Amino acid sequence: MILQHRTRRGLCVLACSRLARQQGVQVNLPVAEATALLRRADHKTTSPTSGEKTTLHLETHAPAEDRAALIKLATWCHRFSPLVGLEEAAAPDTLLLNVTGVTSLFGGEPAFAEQITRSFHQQRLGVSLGLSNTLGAAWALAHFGDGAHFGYGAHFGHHGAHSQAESNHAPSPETPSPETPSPETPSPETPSPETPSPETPSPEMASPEETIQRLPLAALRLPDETVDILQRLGLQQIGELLELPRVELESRFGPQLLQRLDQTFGKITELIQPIQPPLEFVAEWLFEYPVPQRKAVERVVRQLVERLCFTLADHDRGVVRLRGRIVCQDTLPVTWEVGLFRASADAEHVWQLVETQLERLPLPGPATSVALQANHHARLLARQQELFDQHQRNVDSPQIATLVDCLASQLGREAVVRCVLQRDAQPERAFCYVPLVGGDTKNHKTGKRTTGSRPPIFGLLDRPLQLLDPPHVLEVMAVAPDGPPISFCYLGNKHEVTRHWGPERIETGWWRQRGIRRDYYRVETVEGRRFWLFRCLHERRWQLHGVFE
Amino acid sequence: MHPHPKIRELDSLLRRLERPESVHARRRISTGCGPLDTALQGRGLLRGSLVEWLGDGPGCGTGMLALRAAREACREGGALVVIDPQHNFHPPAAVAGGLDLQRTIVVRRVQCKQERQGQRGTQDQWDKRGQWALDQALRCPHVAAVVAWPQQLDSRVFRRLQLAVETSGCLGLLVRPAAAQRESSWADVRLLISPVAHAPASDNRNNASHTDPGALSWRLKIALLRCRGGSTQRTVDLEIDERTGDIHAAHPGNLVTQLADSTVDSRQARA
Repeated sequence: MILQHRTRRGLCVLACSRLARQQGVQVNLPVAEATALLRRADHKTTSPTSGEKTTLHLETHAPAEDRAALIKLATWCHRFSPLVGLEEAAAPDTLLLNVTGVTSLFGGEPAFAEQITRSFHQQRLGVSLGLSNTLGAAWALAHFGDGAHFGYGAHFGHHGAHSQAESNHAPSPETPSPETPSPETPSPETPSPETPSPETPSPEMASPEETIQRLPLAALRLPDETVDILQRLGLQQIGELLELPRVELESRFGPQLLQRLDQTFGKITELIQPIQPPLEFVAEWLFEYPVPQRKAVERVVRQLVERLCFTLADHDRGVVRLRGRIVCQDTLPVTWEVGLFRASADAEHVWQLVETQLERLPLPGPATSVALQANHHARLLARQQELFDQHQRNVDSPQIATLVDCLASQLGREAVVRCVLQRDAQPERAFCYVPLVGGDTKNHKTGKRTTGSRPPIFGLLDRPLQLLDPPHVLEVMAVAPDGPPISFCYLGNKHEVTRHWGPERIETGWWRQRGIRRDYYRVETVEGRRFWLFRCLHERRWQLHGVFE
Repeated sequence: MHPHPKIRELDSLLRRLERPESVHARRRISTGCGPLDTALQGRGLLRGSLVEWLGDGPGCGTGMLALRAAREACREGGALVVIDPQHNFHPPAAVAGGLDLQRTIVVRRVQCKQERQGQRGTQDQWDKRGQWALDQALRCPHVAAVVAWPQQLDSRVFRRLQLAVETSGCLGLLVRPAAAQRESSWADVRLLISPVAHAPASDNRNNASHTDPGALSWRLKIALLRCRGGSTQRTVDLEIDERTGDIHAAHPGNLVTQLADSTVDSRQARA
């Protein structure tokens, strides 16, 4: 497996699996060469009898997707620590966990490390752990440790640094790292060679400080250029840097080198930027015994609404879509959903909407439990009231939100909408309606077309205000087969045409299954009435599509 | 000793605040048609009132004129609510009329199963729900105007709607058929819109791209059936420019041409 990225030299290898590395593939090798290398090696190793071939899997590097996957993994890691973050780097590949006071809950540091390793393996992910008092030391151990040194119980540095556990992992099977094992190989039973075995520490294990000092300079999270210069000067390990005078180090290599050294040895505190776990707002009530009284159930629902709104307001959030469920004895559960125009944590308002829904729902049997969940919630928008704005009308006012919620709860979510114009020649498809309540309007058919070019703006009399859907089939008289209409019958009345504008050919592409080909005419009758007719060129018949109402 | 100007300003603001709620009722807004504004005592429509736009048959531009008035009402801010029970509202035409769709809320009728099967009861049910939605929208103080196409409005419901607009200061624009003239009304203004026949300068049934100036406009007649506190039975002739969409009073020259043409037509008919 090879992860490729585009460079000035063309497509090059960014990372590869262990199997590929064994065949001689290296980082920054052109992909064409790497492919040839693997094919040659594959040809040599494939036995003519079995005929089994190793397939090469090429993936293009997508940093944004990597980051998203890492954030997802960080969220998953909240089971190990309440404070999880990503390393501060352009392309982070390391998760940082603050495990102060946590390891004892898992039976000590070795058991904790084992638990993390096992859980990652169950996710088909390789992991390299480092545990230390400082973030820098943990990072160094995770990336360059020999597996025997985790710094368990290490206490170097006296600046009150938290103990940090750091997991350097392969974020997803698609993005293997040269330092991490191949995602296919590890299993809980057979840990990979790179995966440290915390249960078997080396008997002649050095002190944690000494371990760090023996690590290469790259373990200090320095830029590659700085590491190169230091290596050319004959420095290989972190410990060698400590023997040099600090003043000269700063003047020659800038402040970052000393900063990284101090961070690693705990002289400067480094903080984790935490990733917040997704909030879930659920309120549930289990009855001691099945309750047949509707009023009692409604009272419970109301209490749950109040409780949920209180929790939401506490987090500065408001409900946008609320789903309710009443489990009844021996029957299917009763469910309902309430959508709001704007996020709200006003229990009274939410309850009014829920009550409207509940009124329509029959309770098929005694209720055993009630649950409410805020499926979609958003940040509450606070608007300062103005003293002298009582006559100013505002579309963003809470009263408009209340009106929309009220209308949608009575008439249905799809009944209260806003119009979005679309760039489509077919009049029926030139616009669409988006429900105003319940959020999640992105998934609605607003269409990507709306974001591109702007739909055309017509003149006042170019399009009728009333569009008939479906169009009304007409009996039309015309002098020429392809000519304008002379007269037509509509609603039992005969209309004679005195003026017409057109034809305006509207035609959709062949890629649309039910494409149209129409000649539109705006016509004015003897009485002065205006209509919008078209002749369907496929079916050769006239239809009325709009009335200038 | 004279009070400080700031104190005077605050004092006037306090007096404004303590004034009765009917302040908005005194404000007037344009209908978007100059000649019609002139007919309505030169000041247009009152905020917090109901206006009935009666259409004399299909295709006479009633809704278009009502939306124009709604556009003017929304100039000072606030939302526009369009209650569209028939699913006929065509947003591109509304945008062409100058409406801002971002500030427009459309209330549509959602067809249920029984309705698709053509059951009669659901129509009456929707009429009631549509009236309720209209009432709710008219009561909202942050709604600038409501445009609706109510089929039936009994006197009791009408009165309730009138009270709603008086409370909120919203402009209620009701587009109805001409048959509603026979029904009692609580609207402040009632207008009847009829189309005016086009009188071609030369042979008719030609494409409209000929040089006749009347061919570049659509003529409508508005009869002012009722206007609270103003004169009634006034008629306004309008011309809507085909190219610019401007509305202005009908050119008197066209009337002469029309009269002349009609005499020619009648002579030809007799011959």
